Amino acid sequence: MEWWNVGLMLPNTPTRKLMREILKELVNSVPGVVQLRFHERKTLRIFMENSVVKSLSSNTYSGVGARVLVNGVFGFASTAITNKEAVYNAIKDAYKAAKTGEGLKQKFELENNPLQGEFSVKETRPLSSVPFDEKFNLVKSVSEKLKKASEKISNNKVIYSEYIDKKNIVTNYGADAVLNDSKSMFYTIVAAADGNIMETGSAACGATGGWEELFRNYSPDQMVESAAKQAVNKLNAETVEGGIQTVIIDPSLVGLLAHEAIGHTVEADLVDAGAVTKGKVGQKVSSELVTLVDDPFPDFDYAGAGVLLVDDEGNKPEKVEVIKNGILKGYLHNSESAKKFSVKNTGNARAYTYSDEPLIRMRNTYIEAGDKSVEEIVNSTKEGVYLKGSGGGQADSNAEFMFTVSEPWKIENGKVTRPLKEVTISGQAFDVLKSVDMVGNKVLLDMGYGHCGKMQAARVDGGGPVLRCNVKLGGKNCNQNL
Amino acid sequence: MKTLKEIIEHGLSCGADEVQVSKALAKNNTTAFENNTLKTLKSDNSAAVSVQVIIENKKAVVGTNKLTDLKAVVEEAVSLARNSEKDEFNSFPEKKETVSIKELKDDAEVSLADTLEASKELVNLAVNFDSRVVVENAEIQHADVTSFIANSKGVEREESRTFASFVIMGMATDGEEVSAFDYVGGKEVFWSDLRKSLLAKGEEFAKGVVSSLGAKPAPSGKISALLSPDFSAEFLGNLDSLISARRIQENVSRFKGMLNKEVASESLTVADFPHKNRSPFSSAFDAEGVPTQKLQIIKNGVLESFIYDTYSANKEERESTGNSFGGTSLGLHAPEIEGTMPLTEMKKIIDKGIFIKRYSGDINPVSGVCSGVVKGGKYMEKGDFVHSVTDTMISADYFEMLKNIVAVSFEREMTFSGPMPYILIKDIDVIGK
Repeated sequence: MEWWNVGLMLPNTPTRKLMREILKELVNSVPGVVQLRFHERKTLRIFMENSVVKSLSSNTYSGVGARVLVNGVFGFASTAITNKEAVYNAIKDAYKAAKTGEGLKQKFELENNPLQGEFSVKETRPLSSVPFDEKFNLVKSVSEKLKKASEKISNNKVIYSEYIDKKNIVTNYGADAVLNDSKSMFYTIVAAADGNIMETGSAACGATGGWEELFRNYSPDQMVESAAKQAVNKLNAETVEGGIQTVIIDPSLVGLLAHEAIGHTVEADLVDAGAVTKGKVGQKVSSELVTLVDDPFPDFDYAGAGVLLVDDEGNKPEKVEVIKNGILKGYLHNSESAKKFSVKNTGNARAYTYSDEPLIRMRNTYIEAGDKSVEEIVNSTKEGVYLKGSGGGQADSNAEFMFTVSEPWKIENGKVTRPLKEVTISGQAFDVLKSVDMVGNKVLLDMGYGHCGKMQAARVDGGGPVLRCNVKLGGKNCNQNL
Repeated sequence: MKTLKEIIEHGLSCGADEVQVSKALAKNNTTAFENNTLKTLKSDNSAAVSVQVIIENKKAVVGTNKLTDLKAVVEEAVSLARNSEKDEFNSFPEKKETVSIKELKDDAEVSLADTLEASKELVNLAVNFDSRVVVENAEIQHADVTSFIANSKGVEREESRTFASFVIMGMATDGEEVSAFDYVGGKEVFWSDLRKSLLAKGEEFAKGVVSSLGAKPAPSGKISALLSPDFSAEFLGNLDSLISARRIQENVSRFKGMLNKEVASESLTVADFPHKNRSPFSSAFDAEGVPTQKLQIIKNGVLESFIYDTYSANKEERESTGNSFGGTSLGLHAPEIEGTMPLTEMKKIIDKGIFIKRYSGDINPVSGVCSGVVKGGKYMEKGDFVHSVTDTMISADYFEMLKNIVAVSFEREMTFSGPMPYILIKDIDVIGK
């Protein structure tokens, strides 16, 4: 028997059809607004280090999250036991929890756009149909290739992970949606050593959908070459000069900028709390070359890791034009904030597991294409740094950000000349976007391998074309001691 | 424990050579505030079971939150392991005695109404301090957790404990100006201890965000950095991967071959002491069920020990130090950092420097690159704070930073990693104006 065929829907667990019936039957069992969400997740993770299996794991968990709004207060409870009695008890607990806070908030309504029907992400070759051996052997062969890529490679790690989600969302305001989703990630990281100098390199990809979707932008061999070269190149590289410089940033960093530094400041809950974008709709916030969107289902790439077909309040996810030609156009909403701001619900409510409450989260956040080729942008840059490869980052509600750049390159006289050591960049994101003077003509979603963490995890994606702008680099700068 | 033994028996009958099972049951009450007002009250019970099996040196792990038919989970783990590859160093630990740690569980009943009352108090303390304070999120959680570990070699562990934790995060706004985002948090075993500590924490958070209004970039240059306890926790947290025997064995730690050699300034002394009573960071056993121990890691700058789990210990034919955090992860449970002087004296030796409350950046313990943005920081001259800073970065080499530690404060403050000191480090590149 293949391992993945072992009965994971346990004998006394209702089928999904029965689950849906239970949710529909119980959704009106207490007063107030009721959102019920059954969520089953099956995961697989294969991790090898230097071709040796370091972790091989699988998880299955499921349960029902019940959220009840009574007199302006949300109560939330969840249960891993998915029979009718347990679900009813969870609803009652959520109701009781909401009543505990009664009187502390004013009543409010929700703005909903509920969906009905079954929604499935596109999987050219479903992850569940790819034999375990194929996944295992790919991880093994990539690890072996990384080892052989250079004699300076001292260590490599390769990780494949996937999760397959099934959800039923039923609410008493009309949502009755079934969602079939799958997301995966492939990650390589290497260390190269030369004497006492050690450097790292990485390459990764992530997707919504099946096996073909995962490797749609990069093949495993391309990732081997990219990660190994990056680490080896940096061994003898110089440290970047600190301070503000002209930079060209690649799609993975554009995605990080769009998501982390701009996107969070337009999430309506953070706007309400005083994020820097509050009250600025209709104002110029960036160069007019910039148009930034948050898109649940991009038409140029249906496999972005942030693809969302139904949000976790059962509402329809909408494409949001956040910045249009430099003008701030709108925010990202759930049912509560949409009502408060008197706008249409954009369907951005997401919960990571059944026991998480839905929060306003992004999906695929990217900057739209301009009209310049990468060559034109590089050739017209006399001196600067080409920033490639995102090593993650953080940003605050005031749009001040910090990102790690794993692969910076020096640009001299319109040519990319030599690699530099890893560096962090920082600045106020809107100031950086105001300095954008050239925008590439090809958009790529290229940060779908990680998770966004805002109280709970969420798979998101981001990207854009190559951009030229000014940014502060945290390198060596000090010609003098103070 | 009876269920765990049945799972182990079933695993062995399915052909496993060794079986280990862990189970955690938790009851949580959580109250969340958002934008100064109540957001959600949450109450849940959770369960998680993890079954690990080894067959012919091949290992696999399967987890679930379903306690109804664990036989299927065992069978899946056996099937998955058969599809893996042999590694002679895979094994589960042998049975050993553990120490007894007192007061890890609070018997007080803590209801959702109690967490709500405490949350209201915390948020009110912050917003009443100054009307410009915005509490973006505040959360108080009370968790009652019981964990079990058993394996086919006779290990049987059970531990019941409580955690009372809080976090408050947000900023101050003044017209168009938005201060640096900041947070304050902490964790205790006893609800009464958390309630006492909250009285100071709401105001501490508010003071922090208000004082970072009107900030400007620090002057650029090579100066001293005074690390807050929060940043000290992050800075020293990177030692975990450098002292991990797994990282040493895989050639990704520059501490390889450095045992009994100087890796830091003589001002740095670090030990792991997970046996303190009434501490949420204490634990009698690690994620594999191996007894934890007091372990001297760095003494006056000299590296004295690495940390091991069963797998890495098998490779060197020695015993685990009880530092497994599950999977391939190793770490210190409750790091204790020895102080060298009072904070007031430390400040006096700063001619020009920067106080770093929070650090938003990267520390790469492999390459040593440490580069990021100073958050909630203050520029200092002659021991005094001159002004709050914004738009200011630091850049340094992590290994040089360890050697450039000038002093460690006697004073400790609670962080998410436990009580931590202030640390003074010289010669940090600051990129501001």
